[in-house]
Amino acid sequence: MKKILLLVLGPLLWGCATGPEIVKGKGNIFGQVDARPHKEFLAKAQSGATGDYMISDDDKITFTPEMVNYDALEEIYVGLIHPDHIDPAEHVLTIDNDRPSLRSILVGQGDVLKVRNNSARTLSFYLIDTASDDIQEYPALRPGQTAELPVNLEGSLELGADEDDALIVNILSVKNLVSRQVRSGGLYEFTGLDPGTYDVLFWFWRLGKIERPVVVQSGNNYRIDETLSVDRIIRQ
Amino acid sequence: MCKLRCFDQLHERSLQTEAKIGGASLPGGRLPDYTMRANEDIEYECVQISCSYPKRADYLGYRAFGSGAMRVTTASASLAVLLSVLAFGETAAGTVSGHVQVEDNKALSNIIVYLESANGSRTGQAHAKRRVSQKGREFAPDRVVLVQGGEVAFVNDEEKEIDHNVFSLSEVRQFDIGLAQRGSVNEVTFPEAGEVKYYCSVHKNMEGVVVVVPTPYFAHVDDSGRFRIENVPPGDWVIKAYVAHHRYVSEPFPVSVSEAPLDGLVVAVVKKKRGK
Repeated sequence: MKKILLLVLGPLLWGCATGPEIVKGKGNIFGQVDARPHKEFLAKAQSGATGDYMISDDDKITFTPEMVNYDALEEIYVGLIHPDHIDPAEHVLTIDNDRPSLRSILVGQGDVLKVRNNSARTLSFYLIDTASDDIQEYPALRPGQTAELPVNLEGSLELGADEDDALIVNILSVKNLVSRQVRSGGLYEFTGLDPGTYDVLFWFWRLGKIERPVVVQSGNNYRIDETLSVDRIIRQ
Repeated sequence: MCKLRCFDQLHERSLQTEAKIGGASLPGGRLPDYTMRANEDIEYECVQISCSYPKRADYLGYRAFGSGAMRVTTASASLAVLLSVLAFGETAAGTVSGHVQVEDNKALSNIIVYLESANGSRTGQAHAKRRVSQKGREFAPDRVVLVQGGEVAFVNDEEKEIDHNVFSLSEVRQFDIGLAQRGSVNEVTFPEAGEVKYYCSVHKNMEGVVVVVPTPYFAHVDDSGRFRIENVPPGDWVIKAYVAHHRYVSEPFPVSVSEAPLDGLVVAVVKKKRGK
């Protein structure tokens, strides 16, 4: 299936893409990522239903405060996976008033979480694999302190603190991954890529992930747009 | 001979009921003895319930035990309490009780103690169903315990025309019930044991959890840390606990159940450690 997708998507994308400046002998992957409500919700909205289905003059859904505002999601992540990616990246997380600055982070396994404790109490962080009993524990972080916490686990993780049960950050840790954070409708790019086969991973913690394979050839741009929604991710 | 009884698990008392078995109406109160043939498939329908205390419209569930197969259904969407339908077979059953000891005496909520077959055989065939209501843009209850193989009925009880889309990305059970309009009922089966988080894709504060346990032999741990599992068939079991707080895990151990009550068990719940 993956090979078929490569065969179909590769030439198609190669033929029509424009994008970032290309360095000789390299290729780029770029695109736009959106999130949207369930397709059945969209269909009902477009049929003129009332209630939660208000449509603005520019044909967009007007999200009420109780609703998930898919146009304003700020923690959508795009990751690029390739076996040669081994350099750890740093992700900044701040705890202010017992609230984390991010609710989710996509990391490469081996990346570092640079955590600053701006709360009034000491926090003893841990990282848990939600699918197993595997765990990482970190030294206690006093108020005002910053620490670099390496992510050695892989998979769907939770960063928590012993002193605050409500402080949870969803972490998706993937081997050989470089990540970008974008907001809904935002653009991303991975440039200067060596020719080869890559996987582009799109993730929003509440909606799940979609992976798209791309074969990069030197001298080319590849545009990979994606839309995250429940009906695209969960296929019955 | 089996005895059927409608039982309010939440308040631990019998209910005034009127029920039908095999199409025949039965009087209210504790149900009469009923001869249950081996592997008989019983249609048991609670058609009316009255309670002497405030109704809890957000709880509805069944547990079924017995020597024969059993099917439990309900026609009433207004049933107001957590029900257990118990069928006691001729084989004497045991009781397992004790308390949970949490490391550092941390106060943890949502701990379920359950028994798993020691030999790995499937023991979760008892049909069970839970009802999760969506009302006021909230799931009620937002946490249910279900026996493996059972179903959850997601019911849109909104008073206004508010649609929901309940879905889960859990590794244990992925599902997407589509757009559910007011009054709709969508049943989802849960064939594997584990924790299933689910959300509504329309409303941001709607989150819930289904805890799927492998057997009907489970108990909620009360505020004082105690638990009591009744009607356990004699045999070898492993006692475990589900802990909602992912930082903690239980330390399972084997138990041998007989007719005599097995009291005073201590189930340790400890912080996860690297390499455990």
